[in-house]
Amino acid sequence: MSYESPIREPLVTGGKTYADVTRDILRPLENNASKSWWIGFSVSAVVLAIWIAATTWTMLEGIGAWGLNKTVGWAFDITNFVFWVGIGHAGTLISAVLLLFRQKWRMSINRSAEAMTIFAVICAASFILSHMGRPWVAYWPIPLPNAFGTLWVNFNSPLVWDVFAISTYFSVSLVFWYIGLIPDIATVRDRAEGLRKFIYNFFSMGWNGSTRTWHRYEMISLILAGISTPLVLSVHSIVSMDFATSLVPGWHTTIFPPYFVAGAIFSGFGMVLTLLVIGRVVLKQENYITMGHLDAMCRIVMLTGTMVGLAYITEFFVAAYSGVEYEQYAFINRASGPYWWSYWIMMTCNLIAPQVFWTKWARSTPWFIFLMSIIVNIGMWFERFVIIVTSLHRDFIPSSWTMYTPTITEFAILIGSFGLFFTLYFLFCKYLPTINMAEVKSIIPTHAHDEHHQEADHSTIEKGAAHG
Amino acid sequence: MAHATTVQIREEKFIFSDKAKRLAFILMGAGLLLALIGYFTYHPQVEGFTDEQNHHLPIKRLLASILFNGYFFFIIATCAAVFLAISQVANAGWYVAIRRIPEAMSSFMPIGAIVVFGVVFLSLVVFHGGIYHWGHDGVMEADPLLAKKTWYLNKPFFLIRLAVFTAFWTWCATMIRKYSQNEDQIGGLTNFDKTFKLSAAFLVVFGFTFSMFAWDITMSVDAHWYSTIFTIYNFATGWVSALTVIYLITWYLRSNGYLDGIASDEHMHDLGKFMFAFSVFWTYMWTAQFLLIWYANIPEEVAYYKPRMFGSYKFFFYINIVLNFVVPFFIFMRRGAKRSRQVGVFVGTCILIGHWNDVFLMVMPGAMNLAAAVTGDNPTGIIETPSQGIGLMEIGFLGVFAGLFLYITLNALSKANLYPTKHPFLKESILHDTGV
Repeated sequence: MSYESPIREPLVTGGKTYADVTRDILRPLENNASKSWWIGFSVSAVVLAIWIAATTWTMLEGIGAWGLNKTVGWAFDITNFVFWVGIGHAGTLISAVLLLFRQKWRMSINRSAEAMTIFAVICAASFILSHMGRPWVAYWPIPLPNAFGTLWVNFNSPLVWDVFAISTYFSVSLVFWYIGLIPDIATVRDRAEGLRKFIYNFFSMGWNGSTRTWHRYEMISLILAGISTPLVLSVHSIVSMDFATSLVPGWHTTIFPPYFVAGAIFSGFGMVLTLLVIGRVVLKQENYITMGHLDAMCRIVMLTGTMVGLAYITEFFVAAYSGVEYEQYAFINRASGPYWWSYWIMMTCNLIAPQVFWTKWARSTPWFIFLMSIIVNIGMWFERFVIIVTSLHRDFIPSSWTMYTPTITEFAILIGSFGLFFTLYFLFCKYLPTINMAEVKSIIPTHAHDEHHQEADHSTIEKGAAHG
Repeated sequence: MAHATTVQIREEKFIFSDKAKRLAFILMGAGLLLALIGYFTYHPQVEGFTDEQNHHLPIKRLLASILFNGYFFFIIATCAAVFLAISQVANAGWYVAIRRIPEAMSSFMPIGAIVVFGVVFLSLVVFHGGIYHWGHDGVMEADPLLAKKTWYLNKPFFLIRLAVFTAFWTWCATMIRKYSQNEDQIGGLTNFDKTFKLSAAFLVVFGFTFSMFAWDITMSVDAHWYSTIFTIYNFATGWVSALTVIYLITWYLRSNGYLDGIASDEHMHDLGKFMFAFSVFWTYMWTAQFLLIWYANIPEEVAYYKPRMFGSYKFFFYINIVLNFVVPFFIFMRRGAKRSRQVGVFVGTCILIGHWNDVFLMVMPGAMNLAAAVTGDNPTGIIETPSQGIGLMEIGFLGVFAGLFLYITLNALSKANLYPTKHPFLKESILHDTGV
């Protein structure tokens, strides 16, 4: 059992009953799609079409369709990849790390955050495919036995570690998300009829709500949380090693792993806020995703933004302190070279802007939070752009110094990837419950319970709500 | 479950027994004695060193032993204050029953700060360098690489920022303690709110200033070398050690009949989980630093690991991983281990020895090196001294500071109620259940 102090704000407001939870959260599933859903879905689908066209063009034409050159051989593609992988981290953090820390406020946001993780990793993977140039041999980074010749993958390469890290991350996240969905899918099944019932029945995997199923559910959640927690750290650490194991000034720095992880969580929460500030209104979930939730997420954005900022400053300082002129030039070039604007966009969006969340007003004004979440997304995209392009474009030989300018195809793929992401997200909102009903039901304040205990409470300082 | 929400909150004082006091004094006295014996019987005869070079080693070793031991206990005390601040801003409830323990630990901060400042002052000003290679007369000018660092590595700036940072942290910790004790008197939420604001400010300032503090005290011992993750790595060391000390003191109190019905096995379990998790966290930081430097193999950077991994410090290098990762990871993974006093004390002791060794390994190799003329054959101007091992001086000062830390902590613990009786989350903490 657990006890909660009365000074804590309730996690679900509006005096909801168990039946209310089911009704409220299944409303989008059990009714015809609303007009706003159709508008959102159609726009996303159109943007997705842009993605399909641009990616197809890249496949047909080859990497020559992009603005890469001999000096900058890695730019938009990998920026977008790191950006999308980073977005995914908030989902795992919310569902795994916050579970281990027993943060119950995670319960009404974990489902959508995990869905976001999965869709974001899909977007990220698409950039790996498209930047390979020959996507039909995409299985080459997988260490298959010598059936294709005598060569193995280079196990010393962080790119191979990345293949393992991302695929593990994707599969564990998918399983975690799906396991969490099973009780809720069973609820949908119980209320459905006909073909719907058949389909949801199939996906509910025979869930019958018995104690035994719940017991297994709780055990597996805990185990998956335990597995996912190191994954939150490892995935972006290994992504950072794609850069940090090199000798390139600005890339080779030991703070990269934790700094990338902090940045990933920062950008992930930015995206969660973008989705939920809108979603809670459109799906009428204000009583589940309360202002308290937004407040808590704003604090995390402020914390991780400041951590990322500390890492920027540390890098800058240590470059100065190191006395290594290549390192020093890389950082001066970032801040004052031809890409200075991207550096200052990054600094402003990631370090300076989130400091507004020190004020209560900023944390409790939805439109402003939404605006900030977009700023965070922009800032984190530019962070990767800054790291990748500014470190490469002026390399060791000044005669090979050059600029990188993305082509329209690259922009189309970047914008199109949002279409892919949002199309998947809109489908998720329509066909699956966006809030974990089973878990939310466990945190509804039980007021009857509370009164029952009042008399036994006189030896204590205060009273509060108790949950079984 | 009707009874479970009823809790008994009463006044409970820790009595600092004569036996415990004696133990603390014996540790201090015996430690000092050992250290002095160690100092006066240390007549190094390093192969290839001249008599004059050998003559420099005892004072270096003495200063380095005081520094790394003082630093170790100071960061433990500071991280105890950070634990309070983080728990406060995270609105944590579970820890309130044991809150007075980190509060008491943080009262070591003033002494720790004075020790660290004192030994740095002695090194830089009185002994013209001592353990800091860059502090030797003429080194900064003669060494082209160090000459580029004078804007940061210069004695006045170094000492001023050290004094300012440690004074500010100590002040924050003192105020956090004061608010907490004031709350016992008047109740309500005023002190809780004040602590919240102060903690947030403290954490932000700490995040930025601890970076410089770690660069200064331990990284600048190897003045040529640099690593951006070094701060976080140092923090991980102090943080996991502080959690371990909290865990061990809680066991000590509980096994002496204190906190009965207040702190339970549930709290031990959660503290144990923290020790487990942050041991992994430390290993992560260790790996990030080591792997990236090893992989890139840039001479300026790998120079740091050469004496440690392949040279005379090899033993300490490998035992570091065993004590700080292998032991907690494999022994402390099971639920029962974290709730068992015997296993917990064993793992806790390993972690503390491991991190003491870790700090030893950060400071000693660089501190014992000798300064020489910068020449074409020796561009760094450093003559490497092989490891002198862990001897009476290192162990002696461990005793001195462990005794001092214990005395100050237990003494502070006996001054206030053993748990904050009017903390708004006390009841949550007493009824805390890890759920598994």
